[in-house]
Amino acid sequence: MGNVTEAKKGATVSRRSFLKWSAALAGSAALVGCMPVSSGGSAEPAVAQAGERHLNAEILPTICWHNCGGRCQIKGQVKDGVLLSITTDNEGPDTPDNLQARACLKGRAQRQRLYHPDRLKYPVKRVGERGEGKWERISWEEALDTTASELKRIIDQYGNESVHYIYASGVGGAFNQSYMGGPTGRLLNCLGGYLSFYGNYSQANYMYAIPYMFGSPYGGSSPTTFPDAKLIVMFGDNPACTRVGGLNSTYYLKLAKQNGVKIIVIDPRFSDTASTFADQWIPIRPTTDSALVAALAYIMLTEGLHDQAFLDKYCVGFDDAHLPEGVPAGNSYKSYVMGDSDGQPKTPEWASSITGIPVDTIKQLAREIAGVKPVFFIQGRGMQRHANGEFQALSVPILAFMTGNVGILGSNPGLYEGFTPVRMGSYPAGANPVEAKISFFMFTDAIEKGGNHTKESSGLQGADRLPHGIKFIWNYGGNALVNQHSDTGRTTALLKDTSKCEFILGIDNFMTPSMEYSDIILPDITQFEQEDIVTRALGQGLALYGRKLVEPMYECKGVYEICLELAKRLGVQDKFDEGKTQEQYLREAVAVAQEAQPDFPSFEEFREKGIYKTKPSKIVAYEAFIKDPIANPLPTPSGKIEIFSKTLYDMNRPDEIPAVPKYIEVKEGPRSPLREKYPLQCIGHHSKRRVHSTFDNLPWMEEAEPQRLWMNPQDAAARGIKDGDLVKVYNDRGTVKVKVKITPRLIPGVCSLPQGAWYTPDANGVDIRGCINTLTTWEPTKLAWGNPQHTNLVQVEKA
Amino acid sequence: MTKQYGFYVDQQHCIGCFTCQIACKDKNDLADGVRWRRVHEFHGGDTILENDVYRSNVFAYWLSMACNHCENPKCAINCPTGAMYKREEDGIVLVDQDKCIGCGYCVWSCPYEVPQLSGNTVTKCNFCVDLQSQGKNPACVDACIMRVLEYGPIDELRQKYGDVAQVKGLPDASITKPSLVITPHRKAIE
Amino acid sequence: MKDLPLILFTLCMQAAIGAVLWAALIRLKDKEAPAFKTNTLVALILSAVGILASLVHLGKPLLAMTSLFNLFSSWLSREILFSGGFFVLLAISWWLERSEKAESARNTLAWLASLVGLVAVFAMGQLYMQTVIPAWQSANTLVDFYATTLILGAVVLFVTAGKEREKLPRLDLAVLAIVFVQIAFVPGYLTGMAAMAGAGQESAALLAGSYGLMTILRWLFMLGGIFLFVLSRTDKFAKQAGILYTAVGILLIGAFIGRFLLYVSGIPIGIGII
Ligand SMILES: Nc1nc2c(c(=O)[nH]1)N[C@H]1C(S)=C(S)[C@@H](COP(=O)(O)OP(=O)(O)OC[C@H]3O[C@@H](n4cnc5c(=O)[nH]c(N)nc54)[C@H](O)[C@@H]3O)O[C@H]1N2
Ligand SMILES: Nc1nc2c(c(=O)[nH]1)N[C@H]1C(S)=C(S)[C@@H](COP(=O)(O)OP(=O)(O)OC[C@H]3O[C@@H](n4cnc5c(=O)[nH]c(N)nc54)[C@H](O)[C@@H]3O)O[C@H]1N2
Ligand code: SF4
Ligand code: SF4
Ligand code: SF4
Ligand code: SF4
Ligand code: SF4
Ligand SMILES: [Mo]
Repeated sequence: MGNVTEAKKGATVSRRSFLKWSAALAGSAALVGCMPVSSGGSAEPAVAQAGERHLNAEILPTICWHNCGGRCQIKGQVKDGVLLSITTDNEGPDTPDNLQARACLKGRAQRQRLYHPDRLKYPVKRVGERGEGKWERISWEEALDTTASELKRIIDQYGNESVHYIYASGVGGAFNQSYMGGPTGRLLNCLGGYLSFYGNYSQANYMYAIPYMFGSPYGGSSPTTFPDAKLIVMFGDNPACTRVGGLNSTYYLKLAKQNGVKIIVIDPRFSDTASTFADQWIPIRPTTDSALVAALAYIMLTEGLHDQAFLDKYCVGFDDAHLPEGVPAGNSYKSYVMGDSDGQPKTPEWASSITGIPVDTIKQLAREIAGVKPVFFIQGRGMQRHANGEFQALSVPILAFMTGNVGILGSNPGLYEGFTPVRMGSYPAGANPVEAKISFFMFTDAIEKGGNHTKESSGLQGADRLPHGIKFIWNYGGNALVNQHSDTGRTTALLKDTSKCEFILGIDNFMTPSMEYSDIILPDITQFEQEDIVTRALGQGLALYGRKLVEPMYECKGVYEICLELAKRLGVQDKFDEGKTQEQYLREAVAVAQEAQPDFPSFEEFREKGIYKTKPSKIVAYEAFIKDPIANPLPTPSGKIEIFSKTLYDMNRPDEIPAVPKYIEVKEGPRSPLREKYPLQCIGHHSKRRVHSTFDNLPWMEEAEPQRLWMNPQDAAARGIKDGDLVKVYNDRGTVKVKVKITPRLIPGVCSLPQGAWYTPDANGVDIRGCINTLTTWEPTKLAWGNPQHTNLVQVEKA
Repeated sequence: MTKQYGFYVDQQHCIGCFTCQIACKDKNDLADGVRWRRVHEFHGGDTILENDVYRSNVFAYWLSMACNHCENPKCAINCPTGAMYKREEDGIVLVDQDKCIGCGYCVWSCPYEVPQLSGNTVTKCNFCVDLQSQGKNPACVDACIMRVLEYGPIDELRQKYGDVAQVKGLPDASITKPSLVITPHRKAIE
Repeated sequence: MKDLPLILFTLCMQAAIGAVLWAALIRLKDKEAPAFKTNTLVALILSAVGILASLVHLGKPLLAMTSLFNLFSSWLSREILFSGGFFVLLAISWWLERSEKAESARNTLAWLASLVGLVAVFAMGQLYMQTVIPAWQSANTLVDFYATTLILGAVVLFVTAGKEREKLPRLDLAVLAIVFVQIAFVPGYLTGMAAMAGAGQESAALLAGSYGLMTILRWLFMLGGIFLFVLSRTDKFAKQAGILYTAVGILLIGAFIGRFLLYVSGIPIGIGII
C-alpha cells in the first residue's frame, strides 16, 4: 500500500480574483460604515476581535434555489441593509427523523455571489459582432423597446414556433422560474406561444427509456429507506457531491452505514461517495455498465441464483417463454445473456474484457447481490449521460428483477430515489398554444437546419417540421446556450451567424459564456433581492420561504417586471397582468400548499420562519404493484415490467435500439478505433464546488476545489505529466488547457474534467478555464435525442 | 486551568464537502487564502491496469481541522509578544490582533498549519468565542451537513469518543497535545 | 526572496558578534594588539543593518519592542533581548573607544558584548530548533550559526584591520578548521533528515535534489574562499589585498547561499507530510 499523501491544492486563486473580491469586501464594509469592532468596555481584546459584527444583526430566512438536486434554507444576517454573513437552518433538535435543512458550501458562499464585483449591473446591448464581447450600456427603456420590437418582428415574420425559451435551470422559485414556466412562459403564451422542449440535460436518456420498462420514469424508493437495506449497490452515483443539502440523500447513507448496511459503488472514479461510504469500489470503464449487468445475469442464471418466480410473475421478456405474442424466440434478455441470439454468451470473461473488471470480482458481485435481501439498487444520472445512455439506464433494474428486489422495504429497482414533495402552488404560466417541441438538446440543430429540423432528422415532437428553425432565443437563468451544451466551439460558431438565430435575449446575474452570445442583456436580481418560495428535498418534504435581504443592487430588475414591461409594449398587458403583486402570487402558492397539507402554516408564519418540513416517510418503489399486480398494473402496454419492450422492438433498429437492455458499443468508447488517436475516455463529473456553471466564479470555491483535470498516475507517467502541471486536453472538437490533479482515484484510460467551468477561449480558441463541453459532441443519443456528454475520447499532453 | 475545550470530528462520515470551511470563512469574513478551518484531502494506494483489468487498493479520506487549542500550544509558547495566548478558563488559544506584530514565529511553531499571516498579523480559529459567549455553537459545528463536528470540554468528548488525536496524515500528537478527538476513517488508522 | 530580511539579519548579527569576539580574544592574548576601532564600527553598523532588516520582516515594525514581552517562554524574545543587548553594549563600547576613555571599562564591555553576542547566537539557534521544521531542529543549526559567527567574524576583522592585518594571528587556519567541522556535520545532518519520514525527508530531498547544485556550490565557495584566505596569509601574497578581498567575497557568497538553503529547505511537519 502506498503512502498517504495530502492532495495539496496549490491554492491558486488568481491575483485578479483576489483583488476583485477584496474590493467587494471593502465595498460591503464601506456600506456598513466600516463595521466597527467595539471592544465592549473591559472585554478581552481577542474576544472582542472575534467578530461581534453580527451582534444585533437581523436574521432573515432565505433560500438557495439553484439546480443542485436539493433546496436548502439559508439565513441572512442583515444589518443596515447589508448582508453580513449566512447561516442555515438550525431550528429544532436535528434528529435523524427531523433533520435541519442545512446548506452546503455553495449556499454558505452566497454572499460572495450577491456582492460579486462582476455582477451584471445595467442593461447592455451588443455593439460588435455577436460574441465579440463589445457592449454598450443602455437604458432600460431602450433595452425593453428593442427586445419588444425584435420579438414582435420575429413572431410576425417566422411564427411563434421560431421563438425558443431555452432550457435553463438556474432559477427554481415558485414565482421566478427559468425552467419552462414562470413569468416568461406566461408572457410568451400571451403572445401566442413558444417553442418548448422535452427531456433535459440531467436525465434525458433515463427518462425517455425507463418508461418503456416501468410505464413511468419516476417512482424509486426514498433515501429514508437506505438504512433498511442489507446492501446498497450504486451505479455511477455520487450523492456525496450531487445530493448534499441537509435533507438530502447523503445523510441517509450515513444512517445506513451506522446500521451496518454494506455499500458497493460502481464508478470509474473513486468518488467522494465511494471513499466515504463504500465497502467495495468496483471501477468500471465508462459506457460499459450494461455489459457488467449482462455478465452478472449470466452468473446468476448459470448458477441458478436468480428468482425465476419473480420474473415469471411480474416481468415480460426475461426469457423466451415470456415474450409478447408474435415475437419470435431468441429475443428475450435471457437469450441475449446466454448468447442464443448472437452466439456470444455474456460470460464474466467477455464482460471483463469490456469493463476492465476482473472476472473474479464479477462472480463475487453476482453471488453477493443474489445472496442478500433487501438490496437497494440505485443509479446516478452520470452513467446515462452517455451515447448509449438509454440502455445503460435500463440495464440496472434487471438486477433487481432477477433478485426479486422490488416492492420490499429496503429494496429499489435501480431507479432514482423517490420522495414525497410538499405540494405548493406556482405562478400561473398558462397554456402554450404551440404544440411543437424540440428535444432540449437539439436547439443547435434547430438553429442550424432552419426549416429542415424535422421529426425524423431531429426528434421534433408535436409537429413534422419547424418551418424556420429557431430565430429568437429567450435565455433566462441558464448557461446551456453555450457552456452547458455540447461542443462550445461549434455552438459559438453557429451563434455568431446572426442570419440564423436573429435575436438572443439574455437575463442573468453574470456575464457567463452564454450571456456573451446575447444581443441584449438584462441584469436580474438574485433571490436575495426579492421574495420567493422553493420546495424539494429527497429525505423529508421541504418548503422554504425566502425573504428579501437587501434592496435590488445597481439597476437590476426582476424577471416579472421585465415581462410586464414587455407585455405593455407588445399590447398584451391585459392578458398578462392580473393586477397582482409578487406577494399576492406567493400567497396563492401558499394557499395551494395549505389545501394539500393541512398542517401547513399561515402565510405570515411561513414567511416569518421560512421553513416547513414534513415528517420523513418511507417510500418503497412499486410496493402496490408487487403486492397485487392485477389490481395495480403498471402503465406499460402489458401492465407488467417490460424487460422486453415491444414498442422498441417495433422500431426495428435492433443494433442501435435493442428491445432488451443490451450492451451497445459507442463510437467513442473503450474499444473504439479512434482510441489510437484519442486514447482516453473523458468524463466530466459534477463537482461539489459548483452547481453546473453557477458558483464557478467565486474565489472561495476555487480555493476549496480548484478546477483540475483528474488523471491516473499511470496515464500521467506515460505522458511525463506531474501533479499540478498545465496540460492540453484535446480532440477534433476542441482543446482545453487546464492544470491536472494526478490521483489514483480514477482508473487509467479515463480522465475527468469536472463539468461547469466557464468556457474561456483564448485568441486561438483554446479554452483556458477547463470547460468540458469544449470536447463534447452535438450528436444526440439514438432513442432519446439526449445528451451524451460523458462520452468523449481525448488525448492529453503536457502544455 | 478549569476546563479545556476542544473539537470532535467523526472522520468516518465526513464527505469532504468544505461546508465547514466556507461557513467559517463567511462568518469571520476571511480573505482569499486564509482558512481558519480547512478540509484536507488525503489519498493513497494505487489504481492500475494490469492484464487489461483494474486492480486498486486506493483509499481516500478527509479531515476537517481548525485550531486544536492545544494543551501544549507551541504557537503561544514561542510567541514573543504574548499576542498568542491560552485562556485560563477554557484553554482556548487566541490571538490579540492589537498585540500581534506579524513575526510569523507561531506559523513555524504549529504542526497543524493553523496560524496564517493575513495582512500584517497572524490570524486563526478563535473557536467562535463570540458565539459561545452568547450560548451558541461555533459556526462550523452548526454548518456540517453530515453532523460530524462537535465541540465541548475535551474530557467529556474523550469520555464519549475515546482519545484518538492522531491519524495517518497528521503530525505526532505528543508535540502539542491537541484538544481534538477523532473517530478515524477506517483507512486512516493502520 | 521572502526570507531575505532574515538571511540578512542572521548573517549580519553573526558577523558582528564574531568580529567583536575575535577582537576581544586577540586582545586577551596580546595587550599590544591594534585598537580595532574600525572593526567595532563595522560590527556596529552590521548589527544595525541586521536589526533593521529584521524589522522589515515584521508585519508591524513599529511594535518591534513588544517582542521582548515573552522572555519567559519565547526564544524569539530572548533572541531579540540578547541581539539588542549586544548592539547596545557595542554602541557604548564604540563610543568609549572613540573617546579613548576608560580603557578597562572598554575591555570589560567588549567582553560583555561578546558574551551577550554568543548568547544571542545561542538564542537564534534555539529559536529555529524550537520550530516544527525538522531541517532546523537538529543541533546542526547551532553548529552552523556558531561556525558562521566565527568565520564571518574573522573575515570582518581582517578586512577592517587594513594594513594592521599582518599583525593579526593566523585566524585563517582557525577558520579553515571551523569549516571542516561544519562540513563534518553535513553528512550526518542530511542522512539524519533523509531517514525521517515526511518533512525531514522532503527537506533532505530538496537539498540533494532541486537545490543539489547550490548545496555543492555552497561548500565549494566556502572551501575556495578559505583556500584563498589561507593563501592571502602566506608570505608570498600577504601584501596583495586583492586576494583577501576575493576570498572574503567568495566566503560571503558561500555563507549567503548556506543561509538561503537553510530557509528554503525549511519544510514544516504539517498535515499530510509528517
Ligand atoms: N459536459 C457536460 N455538460 C453538462 C452536464 C454534464 O454532466 N456534462 N450536466 C448537464 C446538466 S445535468 C444540467 S442540469 C445542465 C445545467 O445547465 P444550466 O441550466 O445552464 O445550469 P447553470 O450552468 O447552473 O446555469 C444557470 C445560470 O443561471 C444563472 N442564475 C443563477 N441564479 C440566477 C438568478 O437569480 N437570476 C438569473 N437571471 N440567473 C440566475 C447562473 O448565473 C447561471 O448562468 O448542464 C448540463 N451540461
Ligand atoms: N454539487 C453539485 N450537485 C449537483 C449538481 C451540480 O452541478 N453540482 N447538479 C445536479 C443535477 S442538475 C444533476 S442532473 C445531478 C447530476 O448527477 P450525476 O449525473 O449522477 O453526476 P455525475 O457526476 O455526472 O455522475 C455521477 C457519477 O457517475 C460516474 N460515471 C460517469 N460515467 C459512468 C459510467 O459509464 N458508468 C458508471 N458506473 N459510472 C459513471 C461519474 O464518475 C460520477 O462519479 O446532480 C445534481 N447535483
Ligand atoms: S445543496 Fe443545493 S440548495 Fe442546498 S445550499 Fe447547496 S447548492 Fe444550495
Ligand atoms: S493547533 Fe497550532 S495554533 Fe492551535 S493551539 Fe495548537 S499549536 Fe497553537
Ligand atoms: S505572528 Fe503574532 S501571534 Fe504569531 S508569534 Fe508573532 S506576534 Fe505572536
Ligand atoms: S470555531 Fe469558529 S473560527 Fe474556529 S473553525 Fe469553527 S467557525 Fe472557524
Ligand atoms: S462540513 Fe462536515 S462533512 Fe463537510 S467537510 Fe466539514 S466536517 Fe466534513
Ligand atoms: Mo441536471
